[in-house]
Amino acid sequence: MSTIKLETSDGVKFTVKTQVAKCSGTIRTMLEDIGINPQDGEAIPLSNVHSTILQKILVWAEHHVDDPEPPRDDADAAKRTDDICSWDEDFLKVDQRTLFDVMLAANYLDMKQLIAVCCKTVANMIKGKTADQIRKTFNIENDFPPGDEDKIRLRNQFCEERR
Amino acid sequence: MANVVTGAQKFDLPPELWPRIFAHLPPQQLLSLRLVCRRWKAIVDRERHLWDRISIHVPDGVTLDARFRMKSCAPSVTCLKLTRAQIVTVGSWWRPLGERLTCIEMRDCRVALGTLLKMLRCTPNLRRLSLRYTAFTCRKEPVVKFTLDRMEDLDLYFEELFEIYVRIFPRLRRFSYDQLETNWDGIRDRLIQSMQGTLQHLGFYPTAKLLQAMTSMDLLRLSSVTLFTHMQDHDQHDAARLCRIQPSLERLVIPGVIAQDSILCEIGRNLRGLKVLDTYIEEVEAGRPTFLATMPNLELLTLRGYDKQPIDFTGFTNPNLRQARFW
Repeated sequence: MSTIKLETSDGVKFTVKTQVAKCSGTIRTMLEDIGINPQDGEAIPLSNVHSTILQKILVWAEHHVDDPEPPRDDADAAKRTDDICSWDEDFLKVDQRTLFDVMLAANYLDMKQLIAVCCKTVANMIKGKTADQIRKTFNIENDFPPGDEDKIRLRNQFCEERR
Repeated sequence: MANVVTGAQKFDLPPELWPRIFAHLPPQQLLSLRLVCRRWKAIVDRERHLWDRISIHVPDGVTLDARFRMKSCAPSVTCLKLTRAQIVTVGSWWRPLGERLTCIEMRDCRVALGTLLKMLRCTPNLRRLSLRYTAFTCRKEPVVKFTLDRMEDLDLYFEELFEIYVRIFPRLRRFSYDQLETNWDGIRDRLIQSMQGTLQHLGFYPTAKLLQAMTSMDLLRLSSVTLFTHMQDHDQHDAARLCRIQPSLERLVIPGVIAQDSILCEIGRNLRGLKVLDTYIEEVEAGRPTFLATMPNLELLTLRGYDKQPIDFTGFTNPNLRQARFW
């Protein structure tokens, strides 16, 4: 079975099955289009990903490596957030910093399915919360000048869900 | 880039990921997202597609006259909904609002034709107009010198202004009118005739005359039809006839047609590309939906009114069928 080496931002080298590494669109492009030859023994540098996060992402990729291609453009399925499989749910039960770091890395590595499931997880953290509760959840500072919030709230009043 | 950690943790996602997260949230929650912080407000306001599910709602029964002032609302909302409004005239607030609107839904409103046209003249981005149950207080027709080229979806209840619509909406793709008024047959035929090159979806009451007229519309290639009917016996024959005339149909919604298995078989044989079928069915002979064998490409099936006996699906292989619903 062919393997390739990946080197993270903190200089850690990983030997990974090529098939698993190709869950990343970025690595796939490097191998297939740019023609980096993994047999050379050179490690592919992933300068934006820390070893602790890559370790985690490889666990995910290993588990999902044989997943079928997702159905294309199913608008309803795309909007749902209650269809996260229980393995992924457990996998993403991590502190917020790790979750965000996984998303940043998945974004850099172009792993669409991992990004999608992370987005759903974050959406579930927002769902049903007031602005104040959202700020507390994500530790966001309310930076509106005094009075602005009331103005926005007034404008919001004249909007409603369609149908 | 190092994160500065000051007591509380500070970390964030790249701006392109937030809209993808927000897309999973129910529409009403977009409004609370705008109140979180300036950055989130900017992200939400910038993402137009998030706002497609939100409309500007003017209180029911309002009178729009010279004294009326539109309160400003969330800036990215592009759909306006008016219910039971009496529209006398619109002030200077209309132009900036109208320019951004992509959808206007007037339900049960009263408006003078001249006023409506004056309003429409300021909506270059309009894609959908629904005038369901809306009546005209004055039908005096002003000179119309504009067209709305982006308009693609027109939903009517009263039909008498067809001639004007033909002129100002030259590229309709979806047209629906929910009333049977045979007096207007001729005009309606001309309307469908004139937009046959762009029309993809039609929602209508079939009449023998209209179906006859459609046989000679060479450019008409409908992919979707909703038939409104009165649940009479001849309706199913009209539906079958329509399917002979328009073999390109992929979506057929006939909730007001009581269809027999044999008619559905005929429909299936004529519509080789049928993907969506929604119909009313009372009986399936011996519980065997033989029509399914004629619809190999079916993806979504809705059968209404069927509760007499369980349907036996064994032996039917519809490889593309994703969902079957029984109401």
